[in-house]
Formats: sequence, structure tokens, C-alpha cells
Amino acid sequence: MLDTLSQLAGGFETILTPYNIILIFLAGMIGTIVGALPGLGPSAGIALMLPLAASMDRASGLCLLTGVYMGTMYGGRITAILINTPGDAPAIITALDGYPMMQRGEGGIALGISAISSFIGGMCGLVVLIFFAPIVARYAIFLGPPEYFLLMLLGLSTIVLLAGEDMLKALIMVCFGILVSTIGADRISGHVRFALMPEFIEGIDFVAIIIGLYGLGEVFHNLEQKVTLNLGKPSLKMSDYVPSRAVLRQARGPTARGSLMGTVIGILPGAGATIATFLSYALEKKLSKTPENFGKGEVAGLAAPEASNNAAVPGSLIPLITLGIPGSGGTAIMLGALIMFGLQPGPLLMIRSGDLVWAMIAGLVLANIFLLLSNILLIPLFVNLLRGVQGVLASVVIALCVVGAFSLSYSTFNIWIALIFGVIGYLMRKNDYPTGPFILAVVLAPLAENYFRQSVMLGQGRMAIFWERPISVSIIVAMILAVLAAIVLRLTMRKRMATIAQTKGAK
Amino acid sequence: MKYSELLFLGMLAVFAGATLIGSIGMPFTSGVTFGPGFVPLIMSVAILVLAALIAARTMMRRRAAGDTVVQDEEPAGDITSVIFAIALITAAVAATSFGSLLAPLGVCMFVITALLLKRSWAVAVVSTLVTVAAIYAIFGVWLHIPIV
Repeated sequence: MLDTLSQLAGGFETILTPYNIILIFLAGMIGTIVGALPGLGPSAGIALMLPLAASMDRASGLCLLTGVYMGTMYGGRITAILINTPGDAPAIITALDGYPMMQRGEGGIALGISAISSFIGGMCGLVVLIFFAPIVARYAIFLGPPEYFLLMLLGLSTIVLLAGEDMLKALIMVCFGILVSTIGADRISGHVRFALMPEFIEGIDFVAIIIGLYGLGEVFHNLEQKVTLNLGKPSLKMSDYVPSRAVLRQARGPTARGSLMGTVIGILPGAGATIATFLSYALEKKLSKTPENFGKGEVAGLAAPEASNNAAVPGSLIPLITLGIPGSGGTAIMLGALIMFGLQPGPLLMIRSGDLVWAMIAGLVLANIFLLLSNILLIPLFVNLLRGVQGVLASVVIALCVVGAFSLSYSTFNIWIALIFGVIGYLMRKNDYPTGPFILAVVLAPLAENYFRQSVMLGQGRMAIFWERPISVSIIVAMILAVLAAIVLRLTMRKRMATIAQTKGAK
Repeated sequence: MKYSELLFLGMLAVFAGATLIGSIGMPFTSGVTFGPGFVPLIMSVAILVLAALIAARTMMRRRAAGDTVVQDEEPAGDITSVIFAIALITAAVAATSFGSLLAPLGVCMFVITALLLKRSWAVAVVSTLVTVAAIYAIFGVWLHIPIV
């Protein structure tokens, strides 16, 4: 531990120069703005900064890239909360309770809770990265395709909690999401499925789906219902933007739990952050005394996923740094950046280039602090900007969604995808079909299918591989318990509601 | 059942039917594991079955309530705005084939603001110009995305 602390101190010594401090601050700001724009996320942010980073010394370049990565995580929440247009899959859960808070005039408070919870989650993830990365990596290699498949299934099992009142509708949405995710080249056999046009060979970009489903779908719904926002006049009263002590106390427990969950699950390659946010939300809903308030602007429903999402960022760097395995699009580009700097990610990285790695980690710590301060200070700007455009919000959101979809691949193909899913999102909203299970299936199903088929191959065609391994059995037991608990909770709530209705009728 | 829900379930059923036909030609198994046709085939059938169950359940509930007429509950005028917005966006995206994304998008924004959101022409012009300028500055100039 002392050795770790002295190495971290060495890292701080490298980055605490005026040039690097300003660079990290600017990187965070750039990442926040990029992350806030629909269609652009961590991958785009890091990719945009790569040419600039290449011209710098290695420590500064890595600090720039990781600062942008962290910043995009903060930025993605802004559009999710203010205009219900999540910038990436983890931000979908943010929108579930963040957007209703905005609709009742508490957008600033929602952004404040998001910023503080994100900071705490990020710090928690960084502590694990600093002290436990080698230990975690040592055990992470015991997870194979069967364990990864079951973890994806555990993530999908949270549809029971996202299903709302109607399980049949939730199930059909999950099946629809899984089917949509099969479009494109199959990862195992290379067989191209349902590619009517060459653009479909790489599958449908889920960011285009999110932009359409949540951004355009919401606009169409608001146009039909003639919804007008009434956010009041622009103001600089700090009580509108800084959460009160009572609100912070409410967010305390969920933030702590979300931070732990995000750190642990963020280590999983592929969809760690997404699963972490969905599981955090599901856990808080189970623990809450008022689960019926989730989806209507509940503080716990916002704080926990925000903490887990940012805790997953350092978590996703652990397999990258220690095993050379990127866990997401953003970390895949980071892998390219590390190679560009002449570093070889893997078990020997921390031995051969430890000073650079610790400088990068120290930069992340500093970026997290700067992001908390800058995001809290920028909240009045974002909310007042929204107040300024609330009368013409529909057309502004349409423009952002169209340009955001275009920016994914510089072609109109993704705009058409966004538009189609905008119509689907509108119809889903109109007829109470839940979007959460659908988008969860779109994100997790390709990975789940991939790991499932790999597992069956490993087991030589035998399904017993899923229950012959102790970690797999533990995950199966956890999943069964989670589903049973959710079903019991549902039945209990229904009984309680029926009793309340009977009592009211008797009066 | 609402017309919109019938339409939505119909779209899902058509999509599932098409993928079912497409997946029949794909290998269901491949060596010792499942093939590329495994998941699409099962999901297509599942969607068709679930869509039929939802439709049947709604019909049964209606019959139990004594009303078997399929009708939409919203007045048609509300949906006109949505259809008009979708048509405008479609036209704007189609017009990008003439070389620019921003110009047709700007026109689309102006028409939506003036006609659907019922703002004055001055507000529509100003908000459109400011938004287009901001988008051009961020996406076009800073991020070098070819939107003009």
C-alpha cells in the first residue's frame, strides 16, 4: 500500500505543472460538451483529441484523453436530463428520473445531484483502480464466456423491474430488441443477417436508435399532446441549482451503493457501465419504500445510476491497463492511443511504464475534481439556455437529433434509422410499451448471444458448462433470487394497492 | 384497442414475419454450437406469439367491458402535427442529396416553429438562425463534420 501511494504521489508530481493542470481542466470541459451532444460520446471525444494528443508528451497526451473520457460521462447526463435524449446507453437510466425532475422545474437540482453522485462514483472507482487493479485483474481472468453470458442475462433480468405494469408488453419489447440486434454480420460465423443494404452489414448503431427512440420519439409525443414546458424565466438563484441538504441526504445511500456496483461491474468488458446503471436502478427500486415513485423524478433513481456510471469509468480501465483488453468503444480507442505512444497494454505495462500509468491515474483524479466544480458552475448556464429555448424546443431537439445521427457515420443512413425509431418510440410512448427493456436488449443481446455460443462451443455442445463452474452457479443463484424478489415485490405492491383501493371505497 | 396500438403491433408482426422467413434459410446449428439462425428464428416466433396474445387479451377485455369496436381514443387533429413533422423531416433528409444538410434542416426547423409550435415568424427566423449557427460552429467548424 505504501508503495502504491508513493507511486501515485510520483504521478501527481508529473502532472501538477501549470500546463498539465490547464490541459486537464480543458479536457474535462471539452469532454463535457462533446458528451452532451447527441450522437457523440466517449469514443468520438477521444477520437477527436487523438491528433492533438499525439503532438504532446506522453503524460500530457494521456491526461488529455482520459480527461475527455471522464468529461463525456458527465456531459451525457445533461441532454438526458434536460431534453430526454441520452447520449449513450448508460444515460438512458439517467433520463428515467432526471427528465421528470426537469419537467417539474427541478432540472438544475437534477443536474446537481448528477454531478455530485458522478463525482463520488468516479472517486470510488479511482480508489479501486489505484489500490486493487492488479488484484482484480488476477481474478478477472477466471471469468470466461459462461460467466459473461450469465452476467448479461443478469442484466437482462432487470426487465422485470423496468417492465412497468404490463409484463407481456415488456417481453415483446425485449424480443424486439434482441431481434433488432441480430441485424448485421454474425460475430461467430460471419454470416450476414438481414442486410437489405450494405449499410446494415455492420448492424444498426444503437446510438442512432437511442437518438430516435428518446429524442425524436419524445418530440413527436409532445407535438401530439401539445405539451408546453413552463420552466419559468432565466434566473441565477443558487437554490434552484444546488441540491439542499435534505436532498443530498436522500441521495447518500443510493450514491454509495451505486458507486460500489459500478466499480465492480464496470470491470466487465463490453457493457459494464450499462449493466451497472440498470442494476443500480433495479436495486434502489427494490430497496425503496416508495418504488411506485421511480420513473417520476425519484432522487434515488437518479443518484445511484449516476454514481455507478462514473464508477465504471476507472473500472473499465482496469482490464485495459492490466490485461490489454478494452471494455468499451472508448477504451478501445484508448488502447490505440496507448499503442500510439509506444506503450504495450497488458500485464507488463505497470512494470515497464509505471510512471506514465500513474501520471494518467493522477490526471483522472484531478479531472474528476475539476469536472465536479465546472459542472456545478455550468448548471445555471445549461438550465437558463433551456429556459431560453423552451418555446422552440421541439425544433431545436429535432435539429440536434438529425445532426447527431448524421455525425455517427457522416451519412444520412443513421438519420433514417433515427427517424424510424423516432416513430417507433412515439408509438411505444403512446401505447405504454416500455422502452427500457427494448434498449437493454439491443445493447446486451449481441454480447449475450456471442458468449452463449462460445460457451456451448467450449462445453462441446453440453449446456452443463453453465452449472459446472462455481462462479456461474453463484450468478445463476443471484439471478433466480433477483427475479423471485422482484415478482414477490410486484405481488405485494398489487395487494397493497388493492387494499388501499378497498379502504378508500369503503370510506 | 387503439388504432395506434394495432398499427404498432402490425408493424412488429410484419417485421417478425420478414425476419422469420429470412432466418429459415440460416443454419440453426453450427458444429457443436448454435448457428446464426438460432436467435432470429426464436425471437421472430416469440414476437408473433406475443403480439397475438396482446391483441387477443385486449379483445377479451373489451368484450368483457361490453365494447367490441376498435377505435382510437384521441382526436385525429393531434396526430396531424406528428405526421406533418415526420413528413417535413423526411423531406429535409431527402433534400440533403442536393449537397447540404444544414440548409434543408433550417427550412424544416422554421416551418415546425412557425406552423406547429405557432410562434411568430420573427421568433421562428431568429431561433432557426441562432440554432443553425450554433450547430455549424460546433459540428462544422470545431468538430469538422461535413454538414454544410
